[in-house]
Amino acid sequence: MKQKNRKKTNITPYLFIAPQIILFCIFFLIPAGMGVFAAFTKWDIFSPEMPTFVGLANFKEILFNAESTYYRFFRTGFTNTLIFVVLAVPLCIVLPLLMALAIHKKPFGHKFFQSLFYMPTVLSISTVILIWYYMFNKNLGLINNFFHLKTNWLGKQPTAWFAIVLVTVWWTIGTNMVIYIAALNGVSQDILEAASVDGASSTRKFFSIVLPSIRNQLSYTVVLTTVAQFNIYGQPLMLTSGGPNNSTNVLLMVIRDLAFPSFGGKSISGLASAMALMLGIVMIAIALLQYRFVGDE
Amino acid sequence: MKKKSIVSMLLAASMAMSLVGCGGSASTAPAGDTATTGTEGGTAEAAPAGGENTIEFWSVFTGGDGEAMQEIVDAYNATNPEYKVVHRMMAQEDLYQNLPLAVQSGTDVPDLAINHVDRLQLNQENDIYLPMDEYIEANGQITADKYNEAAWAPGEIDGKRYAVPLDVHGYLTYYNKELVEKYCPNVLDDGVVTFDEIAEFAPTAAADGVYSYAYTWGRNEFLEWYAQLGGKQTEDGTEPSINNDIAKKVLTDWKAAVDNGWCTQDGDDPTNLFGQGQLIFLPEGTWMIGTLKSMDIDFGATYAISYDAKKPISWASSHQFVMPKKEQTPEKGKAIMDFIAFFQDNSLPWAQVGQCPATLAITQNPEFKEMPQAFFLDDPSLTFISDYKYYGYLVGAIDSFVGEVVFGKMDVDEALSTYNQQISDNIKNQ
Repeated sequence: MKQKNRKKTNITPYLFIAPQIILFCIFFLIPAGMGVFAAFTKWDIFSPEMPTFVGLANFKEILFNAESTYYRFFRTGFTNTLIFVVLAVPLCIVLPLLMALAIHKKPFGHKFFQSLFYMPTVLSISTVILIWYYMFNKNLGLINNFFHLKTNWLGKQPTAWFAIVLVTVWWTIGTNMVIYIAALNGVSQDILEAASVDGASSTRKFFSIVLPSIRNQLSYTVVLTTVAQFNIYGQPLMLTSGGPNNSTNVLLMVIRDLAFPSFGGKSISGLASAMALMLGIVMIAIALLQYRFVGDE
Repeated sequence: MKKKSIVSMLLAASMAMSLVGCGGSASTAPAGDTATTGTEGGTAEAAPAGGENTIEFWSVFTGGDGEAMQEIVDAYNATNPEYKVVHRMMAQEDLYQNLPLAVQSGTDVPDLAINHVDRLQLNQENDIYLPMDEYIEANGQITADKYNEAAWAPGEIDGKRYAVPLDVHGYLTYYNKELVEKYCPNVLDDGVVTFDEIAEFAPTAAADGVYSYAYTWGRNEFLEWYAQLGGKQTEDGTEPSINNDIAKKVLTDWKAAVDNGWCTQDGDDPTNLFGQGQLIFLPEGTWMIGTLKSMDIDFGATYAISYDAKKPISWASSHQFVMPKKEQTPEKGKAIMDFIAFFQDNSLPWAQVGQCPATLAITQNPEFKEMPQAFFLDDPSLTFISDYKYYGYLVGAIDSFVGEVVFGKMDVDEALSTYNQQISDNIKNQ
């Protein structure tokens, strides 16, 4: 009887999390499961025809068939995504950390600057891209007019990557900065003061006390930022359309075009899902490695 | 304990409610749609979905086009038809994704929809449409002789009619009258500017920093010039055939014009240059008329820039009325045809937003005759509307290489070979 009562009592926490679990299943788990299933099929998801099971053929096609269009798609898309991650992630970690350190010193107007740096984060991607698209416009753009240039920022490399990374950093910097500001507030003042008394320099205090103290927050932001940047899509889509010469055509753009062809044509969801699955595996592997090397046990 | 039970009950109830909410929203119109129906006062109000005496009409028109379509729908509803039209505007990507899913699920299928002409063949193959012949026959007003020939023809597939055209919208060449007078005063005497003529006056214009023509929407310009030289998108109806000397000529000629400073450069904003008097000829869509009118510039419109003055073939597309597959009563089917036939004499608002209505009656309208795009309907043989089933794959590929080749970022042979292969692979793997 006692055991029965305990069981009844235990339902409550599950009911609290039930809405989230149900939504997670409907909008994440089931679609993710279907995505994995689709990777082993040939399937037009908009057609009444049932999917055909093809085993590992889709993976073979994108990974090993050098003559295939989809091998080219995957290689180009994945390489471009990696280039973006390598360019953007360090900046999205280091710059907010420097800004957080500056704001943490509480200079005059620090509240204003904190709000100013955070503000772009609340904008939608369409708004952000439209603002910057016209800033980079060759004929009308603020940048070219201000500096008296005729640079085709979005149509040539390396300026196309520069533009995409700049927009991304500007847009996303606020979130990490707020996390670092909160983390810095938790660094023990006693230890810092003791180090000062012992004659430690600011640099020494930063690397020996501050950084180790915020190690967990750093690891959290490094992993989340890396995962977020692997999912790059909107910025190159709207700024450069994947050009010049496919050099900013990232993997999610390739996957989207295959699964949902923009101008008509049947959906090639099997190959698209195989590419998405490969991207997912790489992201999980990198995230685990980062936890291993940056995170606290 | 009692308190916990009450909380549990409340949570369970709220969960049930939220699930009902999910179900409810799934059974209404697609998210983001604007459902409107006209009232006598001219205002719009929310309309119920799929009523028995309504025609559920999905269109791909937003902005000014959506307002013009709504104006015609309101005018039709004001005639007090037995079946009133409920017009739901949505972005075309949404319509093209929602329509097949609605037909497959059999719920909330619209009675009528707008599809682009290049979608007809694949959608028909996917069994998304109802044949309209029975209803057209019952109505009696919709006949080939009342429509633009180029727009009417693609609606018939395998001997059955699946679509009736709403319009023809295509690529024109807008010209700055002042600059034409200055650099090439007699070039438009025959209404056509050719590449040979451009080669004569372009160096002088280029010396003054003025471009003769522009790279705008590369795919449309490429397709019309390719068609002018006799290029075919496919030889057998399936495999693409753009890896050939004609395509190479179009691209290399174009690249030479860019290199010579005759055509606009990479990253330029041609509409802005046209407005600022730095561009003589602007190839652009009929839909740009409103934008150009808002600029302080004296402009006209003519046929596509051409290789041959006698064949200024222009790229065009067409919005078509289709009936998505669902159980339909003969009465409602006839009523849908009444609505489509209404456009034959009431398309002026559609022309006023820069479109060319596909009904021949509009060509006799004095107000339409004064519009810059009116000439576009004069000769259907000069209108190139693609009937290639895999047009979607084709233009997706063309978008990827035309600009890159023309602006010197990709080798022409490599581009044609790679992207012809890409279209072919997409067809094989679909």
